[in-house]
Amino acid sequence: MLIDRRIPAAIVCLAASTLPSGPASAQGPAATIDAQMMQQAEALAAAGDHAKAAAVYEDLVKRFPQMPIVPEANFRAGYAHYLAGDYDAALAAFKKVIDNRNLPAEQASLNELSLSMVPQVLASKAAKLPINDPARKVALEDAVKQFDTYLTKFPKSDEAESASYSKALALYQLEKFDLAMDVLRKNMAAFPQSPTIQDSQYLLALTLATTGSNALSKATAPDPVAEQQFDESEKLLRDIITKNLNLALINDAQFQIGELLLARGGFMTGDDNKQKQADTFNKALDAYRSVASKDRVVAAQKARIAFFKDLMVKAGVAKDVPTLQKYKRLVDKETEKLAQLEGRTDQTQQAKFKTGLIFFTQNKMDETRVLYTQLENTGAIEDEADKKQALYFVTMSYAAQSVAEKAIEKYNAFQSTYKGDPIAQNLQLIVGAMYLGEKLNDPNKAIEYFNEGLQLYPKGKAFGALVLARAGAQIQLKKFDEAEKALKDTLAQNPSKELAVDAEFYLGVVQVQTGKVKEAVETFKGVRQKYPGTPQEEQSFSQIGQLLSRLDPKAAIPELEGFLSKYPKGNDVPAILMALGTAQGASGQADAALATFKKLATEHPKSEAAPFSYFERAKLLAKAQKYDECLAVMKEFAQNYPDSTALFQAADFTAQILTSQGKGQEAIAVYDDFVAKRPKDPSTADALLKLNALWKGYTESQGNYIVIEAAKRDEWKKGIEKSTAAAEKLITEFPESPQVAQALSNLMDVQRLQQSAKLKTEAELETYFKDLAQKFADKPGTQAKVLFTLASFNFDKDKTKALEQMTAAYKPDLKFAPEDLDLYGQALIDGKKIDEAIKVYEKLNQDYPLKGSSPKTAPRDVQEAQAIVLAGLGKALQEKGDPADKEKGGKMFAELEANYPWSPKMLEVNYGTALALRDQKKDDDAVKRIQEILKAPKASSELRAKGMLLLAKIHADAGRFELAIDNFIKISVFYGGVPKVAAEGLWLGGQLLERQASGEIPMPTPTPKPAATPAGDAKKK
Amino acid sequence: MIRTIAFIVLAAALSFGAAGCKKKKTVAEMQAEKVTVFRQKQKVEAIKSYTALVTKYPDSEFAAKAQERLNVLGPLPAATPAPKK
Repeated sequence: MLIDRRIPAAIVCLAASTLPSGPASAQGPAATIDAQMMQQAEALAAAGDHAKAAAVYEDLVKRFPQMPIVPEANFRAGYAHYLAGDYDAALAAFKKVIDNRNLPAEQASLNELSLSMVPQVLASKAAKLPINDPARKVALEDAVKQFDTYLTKFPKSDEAESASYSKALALYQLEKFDLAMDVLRKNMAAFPQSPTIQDSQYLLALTLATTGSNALSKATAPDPVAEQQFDESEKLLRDIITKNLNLALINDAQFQIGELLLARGGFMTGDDNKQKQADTFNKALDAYRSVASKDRVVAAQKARIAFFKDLMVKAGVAKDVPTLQKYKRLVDKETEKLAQLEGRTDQTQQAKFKTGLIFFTQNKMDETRVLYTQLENTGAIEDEADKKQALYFVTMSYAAQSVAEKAIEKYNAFQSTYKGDPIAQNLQLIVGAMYLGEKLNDPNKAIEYFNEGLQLYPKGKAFGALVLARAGAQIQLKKFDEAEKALKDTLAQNPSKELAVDAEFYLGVVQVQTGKVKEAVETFKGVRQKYPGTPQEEQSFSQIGQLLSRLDPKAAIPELEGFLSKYPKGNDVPAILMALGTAQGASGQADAALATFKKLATEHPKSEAAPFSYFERAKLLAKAQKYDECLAVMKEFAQNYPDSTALFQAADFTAQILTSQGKGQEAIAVYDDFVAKRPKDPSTADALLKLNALWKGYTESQGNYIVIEAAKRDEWKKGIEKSTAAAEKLITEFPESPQVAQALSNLMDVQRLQQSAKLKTEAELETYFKDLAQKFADKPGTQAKVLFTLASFNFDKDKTKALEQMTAAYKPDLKFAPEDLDLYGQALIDGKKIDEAIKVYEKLNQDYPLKGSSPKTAPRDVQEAQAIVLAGLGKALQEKGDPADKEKGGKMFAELEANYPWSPKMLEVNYGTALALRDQKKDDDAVKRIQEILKAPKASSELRAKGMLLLAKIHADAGRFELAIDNFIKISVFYGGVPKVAAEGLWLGGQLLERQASGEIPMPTPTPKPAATPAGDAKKK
Repeated sequence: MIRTIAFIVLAAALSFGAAGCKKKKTVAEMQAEKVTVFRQKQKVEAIKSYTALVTKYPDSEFAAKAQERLNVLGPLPAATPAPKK
């Protein structure tokens, strides 16, 4: 909101210049005293002591009521009271002049002057009253009437321009903007050459901007009239700057351009307007930065006064009384302005303050904080409201950046001084949200702040958002019922319509989030029915359609079509078209779905949903085996969205189709093209990984190198080179990307292929990886990954060596990929370095903490790491062997099973659980777990071998010696590459065989074969 | 050729005759024999198992123990020579 910071220029004139100036000495002794009193009062006024001056004038009137000087004394008393701020006394004094029916002709101008002063005094009186004081409105309306009276009576007066300006100002303060603008435009037309007419131009600019701002704050659709008003306002202000006549006014105009653009930029919402908004804010920053300092403005104003004084003197010398009077009045007005300028704070400080607001709006939190802190520290913020605002923004900036300690310190400082202040209606929301962020992740703390916000601002604008945010935190804590209950309680308290519609709508949102989709649909239907005409009605309509599209696609179609028919221009139209296409596709209406998706892409190309519609079309076409059309759609997508983040998905989709058509080289060309065109795109790591894998597959498809013919050998080698090049490029250019681990694994496969083709020795393979690791000496994380890959190669053959390599690569201060650390942890466990293994897993736990959130809501990478931690620690504790640790380990496995059942680590858990079950003599359950491992295609050889060993031990314990021996011995046959387990199997198998050989274990009795059942009996059964 | 056939027939007749002249074993004797054969067979399997362990996994913590057992159990019995044709 734009605020006129200028105190209205007083219509002041020097009555003395209009009065007869007979010599005081000619009036006898009494005249001498009154003349002396006049001089005394004038001296007091000149010294700025207006109250005393007024008292002397009034004393003079009292003592010499019959003197001809009395009307002037009354006028001067009124003016002195006015300057002293005693408006009622001023009005009374001016009234005496106005009511004087016997004014001599030479003093007639006093009547006009007093009439001009009355509305001015009324306006000034109003300006001092609080904005909500009814007396203010009365005074302003009275002022407008008095200005009209004056202007009607003296339309040609020299003061008409000033009176019109002041009338417009009063109308502005009464928020009668159209009337004010009318008066100002007429004034500018009537007095284009006046040296003060730019005051009217300035006020017109402010009025236009205020009107535009008011209109846009209520607008639900674009408002070209408001935009025009902003344009005209900016043009008028820039005109003042360009004409360069009055530095004080130029400075105000600069400041107001900043205000106007700040307000205007605030109305530019949505992605489409982001750039426009940034440009507008930058222009606002330029305007604020151009505001001149107080010293410069004051100096310029003094120069302006001197200029008019000079003209006044020249007019005096030329005995041109009207011109002299004109400049005298101007000097007075400008002198009063000077006093105002000297009395107000440096406008550059205010401009800096506003700059901070723009920084905050632009999400430049550091800049916001530095600026406000500097202003506060230098004492530049004098105004209490500004101090409050600065503290508010500093607190908000800390909270927005999740700098908890500082945010809370500032929050508490704010609360201690300004608790419940309307400016901070959203403060609890932002501080609470800080605790919901990934960094702090403390929903309970968040709820505390949300509750405080709800308590402090029960009717605040953020109430609905606070209720929803609290519900979100409650959902995170799995307190679904509390969230629903809170919303239902809010509704039960018969809230205002605005609150009720928000609460009911949020209830639907909570139900969606808790998976109660059917209930949510009913809730949204209730909102739609009960609150017609609200934005929530439209949003609910949209939600119903979108939810039903997942729940019951056929039923969704009429709902979605209904929305499109009722809100053809609605914000959700693209999302609705997306849902409609999906529902049509799911209902077997593939052609209709294709048409809907195409409509979405064509009519709403800039919508969030549009890019996805291409993929939906491609999926439908692929399902119908229309591969050429599918490829065409993906090509169209790439052309229409050359900067889309989904471009890789399109390339990937295309390449996959080509691969499925046996066009491997074309698929490779697609990825090559992506890499060439977007070398820095994060998805390029994916593209390189695909190239790495495709070329590896190409090599393998040539057959066994040793037996294939020469031409194929060349292709075999080409595949090796290309695959290696893609992997090396990936690791070099995206060393921190998660794709590095897979690339290294593929690279190892490719090296091993060369080893099996006798093109490389094992030593050369090791050298290759060591050299590769050396390339990343400045990236210890990547280097460690390379060395861990090499160690994993040695892991099965030589765990001691692998462990040494890993120990050398491991650096506790580095954050490793969870799977890499897991490998190290496993090696330590295998090397019986259990305590060290536990430390490794505890570090992993610290590197990927849950931070108070529930395991199932934590980010996926944290969940995966936590699954590894639980499996690793569980295994390490079980390996320790004592019952307490074993039990602890078992509990960890149970936790893993409960929280991360999808994790590949579950296979290890099955093994660990089987171990625990065996200890508990629950053999049948243990066997079931082992069978899960043996069946799982993803189980490692080591895990299978261990499973088999455990199964053999269980059989042995149960006296099933033949089965036990069979399993013990076969481990070395099936899993010879797991030496430790295979050797143990052979040893234990040998021991059982020896016990049988010695007779300790008796020879098994053959199980009798069941007697043949007579055919007749079988039939009977 | 005729001589060869005659030799085979004679040998078969002799073996039948010899068997027919032996004392019939009791069930207990037969069982004891089975146990002996079983134990012998398991001993051979144990030796095979230990030998595989020592050969394939000489660095294993079980290799030394296996070697000790092999020393106790002795070498594998010589294989029965196949009849000459």
